[in-house]
Order: sequence, then C-alpha cells, then structure tokens
Amino acid sequence: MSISSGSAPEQQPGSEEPRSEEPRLTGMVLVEPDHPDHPDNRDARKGSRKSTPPASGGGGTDVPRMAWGRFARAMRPQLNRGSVVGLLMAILLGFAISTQVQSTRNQSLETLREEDLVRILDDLSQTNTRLDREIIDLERTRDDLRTGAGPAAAKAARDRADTLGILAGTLRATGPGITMTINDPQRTVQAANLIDVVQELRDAGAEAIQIGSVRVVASTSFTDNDGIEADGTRLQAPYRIIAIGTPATMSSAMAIPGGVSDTIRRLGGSTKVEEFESVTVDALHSVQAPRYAQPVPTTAQ
Amino acid sequence: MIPIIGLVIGIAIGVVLNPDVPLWLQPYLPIAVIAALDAIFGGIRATLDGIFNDKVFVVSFISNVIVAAFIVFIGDQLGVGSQLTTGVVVVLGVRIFANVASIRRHLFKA
Repeated sequence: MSISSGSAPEQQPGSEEPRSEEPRLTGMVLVEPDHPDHPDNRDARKGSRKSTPPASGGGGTDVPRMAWGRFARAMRPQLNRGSVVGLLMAILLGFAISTQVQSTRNQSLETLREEDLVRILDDLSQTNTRLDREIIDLERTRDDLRTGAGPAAAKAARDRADTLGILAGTLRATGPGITMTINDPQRTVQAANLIDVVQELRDAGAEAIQIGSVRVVASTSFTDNDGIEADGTRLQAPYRIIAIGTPATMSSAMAIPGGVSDTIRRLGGSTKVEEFESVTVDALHSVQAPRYAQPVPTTAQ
Repeated sequence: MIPIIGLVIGIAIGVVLNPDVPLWLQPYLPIAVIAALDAIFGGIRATLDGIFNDKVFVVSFISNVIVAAFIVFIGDQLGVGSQLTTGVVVVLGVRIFANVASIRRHLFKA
C-alpha cells in the first residue's frame, strides 16, 4: 500500500483524475471553495459527468437526485462486507474520539509554554507547602483528640447527659432508696399532702422520685380533682412512692414527729416506708422543648 | 446507517470505559482521529460519486491514520513535532473541508 493511495481516500481505482495533494491544498488556501477554478469544483463536475452520462454538460438537475439516491442507499441498513467494515471503523473512530476528548479535558499542560509551566509549578509547590502545614496541624489535633482530651471529654459529656437525663426524668434511674406506701381508705389525703411528701423527700436528698406511674420532676404538679392528679394523671390509692437517695435519711425524714407521716395518719390514712439496697424509678417524663426560654449564649472562650 | 450506529457505539464505549491514553500514544491520537475523519468524509464523498469501494476505504482509513501518526513521529524525532503537527492538521482540515464541499455539492448542488 502506497502512501499516495492512503492519503487520498476518495481516490478510487476507476477514477482517472490525477488528484495530487499539493494543488488541492494551494487551491483551497488561495482560491475560494466555490470558485469554478477550484480543483474540487472541477473534480465534482467531472465526477457528476462521469456518473450521469445522459445529463452531460456538467451537473443536470438529476444529479442531486442521484446523489440523494446513493445517499439513501448508503444509509439503508444492509449487511455486507462493506457495512461490517464500516461499522468496525466507525466504532474504532468513535472510541478514539471520545478517548481523546476526555484525555484532552483531563490535561492540558502539554500545550502550555515554558513560563506558564514554571508559574504553575511555583503555584503547585506553594500549595504543597501550605497543605503540608495543614497536614501537620491536623495530625497534631488528631493526636490530641486520640490520646488525651478525646475520651475524657466524651466520658464527661456522657456523664453530664446522664445526670441531666435523671434530673429531667428522661432516663430510668436505679440505686438505693425507699418505697413508701400511703393507704388512704377514707380518701382524705389531698394533693397538698403529696406535695409535702415530695418536698420532704427532696429535703432528705432524694434524687429521683416516682409516684404511681408519674415521674416527679421540677415541673410536676399535683391537683385535687375529685381525687389527686399528678401532671394530669389520676393517682389511685394506695399511693406508692419510690425515691432514690440515702435510704436511712429519707425514711427518718418521713418519720419526723409532726411530719408527713403524722399528718397523713391524723387524716385517717397510714404510711409504710421500706428501705432497699436497690430500687428502680422506671417512670419517664416526656420533655417538651421550651417555647420561650432560650439558653443565654455563653461567650466563646 | 450502520457506520453511524458504530460511531455512536464507539463513543459510548469510550465514555463508559474512559481509558487512559498511554503516554506514547498521546501526541498521535488526535492526529490519527483527524486523519480518520478525513478518510470518513472521503468515503462519504466516494459513496456519492458512486465509486465507493470498501477495500479502498479500509486501506485509506488505516494508511491515513498511520501516515499521519508517522509524520508527527518523524517531526518529534527531528524536534519540529509541534510545527509538523500543525501542518498535518492544516492539510487534513483542508481536505475535510474539500470533501465536505464536494458532498454538499452532490447533495444540494450548492
């Protein structure tokens, strides 16, 4: 295969027009493409004359129609050697095009001048230095977090969350404490008496209190409403109170002469206090986010 | 029709696989693509001329690609690779324009 045949793909064995590369090039460059002297125009006229003998005289009206016919024939899907070869070539070309387009999009350094490359190199090394410093900083932070402050801070946060959860009544609590049962056969015990009980337990150091199925928290209310309601939940006698704290202190606080037990007994009820190594306050208080109160922002350290 | 489908398939393959162009091929692939485009347009023109021959087309396609890449390779060896690349691109571009002009004249007679 010679180079000349390769560089002129449209040149077929049967075409007698000698088409050399140079006249075409100079023709294209120097002469307008539509100029009649343009080599391609001459070629086209010759080609059409050759292909349509009846319409001699250089391109009759049926020449485009014939060309369209050939075009349509070529477009028609048909299976022969030529179409298979064309398919393979086209796949190859499409693959090459998309590959090249993507690689061009990825890198364009090759086309740059030397000074641009030097500038880019400078930028890169500066960025590199900056990033190195950042890496060192971040590694130091990471080591700090990993070795020292990290677990301790996390544990402190967990402890704090536990404490707040027990205080707010959102966590079940267990520990030493007492249970107190108030029998009220004559239904004479009122909300005020239960408030006194809770108050007395808190004075004695109770950390978590439950009355019936109600967790007693800072906002818990007791109301008389043909019976006693705590936070809107009706309490049924006998009232059973669980409190976590120092058992001895709380039970003696309940037994103070003239205290809550005496008062209830005077009303016709009876109380019974038991101390336990471990009691469980398992009622939970559901916390609503405050609508108005906002934490005062702490000044950043 | 079939070649157009093939072109779409090839582009899809390239997009999906997204292969890295090997370093030794990088200067030659764009030239080879342009040379192949030249061969394609030459083939379309030959079809419209009624003288299309698949064997000639394949030979011209391959030799176009090889010769174009070879010219660039020689240019690289001689130290005038970029200039010669530009030259090849100009020549192939002019040929593509000429072929397209011929196709246009065939189809639209304008």
